[in-house]
Amino acid sequence: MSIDIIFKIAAIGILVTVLNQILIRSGREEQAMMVTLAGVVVVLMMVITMINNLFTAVKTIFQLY
Amino acid sequence: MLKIVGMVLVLISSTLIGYMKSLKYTLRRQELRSFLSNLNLLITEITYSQITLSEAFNKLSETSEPGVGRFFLLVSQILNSNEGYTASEAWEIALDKVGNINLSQDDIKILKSFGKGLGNSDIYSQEKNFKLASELLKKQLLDAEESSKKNERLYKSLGILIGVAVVIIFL
Repeated sequence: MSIDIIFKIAAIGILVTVLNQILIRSGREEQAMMVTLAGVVVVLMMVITMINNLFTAVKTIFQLY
Repeated sequence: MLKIVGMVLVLISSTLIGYMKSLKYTLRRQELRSFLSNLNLLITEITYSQITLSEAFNKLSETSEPGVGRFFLLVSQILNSNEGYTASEAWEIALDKVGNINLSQDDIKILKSFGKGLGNSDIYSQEKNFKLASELLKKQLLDAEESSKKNERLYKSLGILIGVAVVIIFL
């Protein structure tokens, strides 16, 4: 696990924001919505294993089996 | 090293795809405008100079811009080929045969219905046919201008941004 993923997520966030703005400006609200949703899904795919690790770590620390 | 080359390639190709998409809108607008002005020239040739259609098309092909000029040249070649095609048949065949034209289906339909009346009546009826076609084409031109204003910049920036997105996601 490295710090790189934070920058990656930040970059995706910026990109999705810009894309969203461009699509809304040209009158395509539906596509803008889809792009935002796709961005959320992509980021979620990236972090889901890490969230899983966090939860298992919490479980082992407090011994909740 | 290889990674950077790949990134650059992805960026360049997606940018180019965006540019090509946006270029289509520009070209359609230009071709419609060229068709409109050429139809006006053609009706002048018919009513005033009264030269034959194949000569008139040949003349137009020299002055108009490349895409449309190629079409007019094709029409005049078909008319000159001595295979017995009428002007409207030659017009329709040329419309089907000329590749690399950026007009939409509706534009082609208008041009085809215009071609049906081409060269089979007296000058006054021809003038009416030209007027109708140029009115319809003007409408299409307005539509093309609107859609190009809406989509041209969108596709340009969309190409670049999607390239950047792909690069970042696969980094």
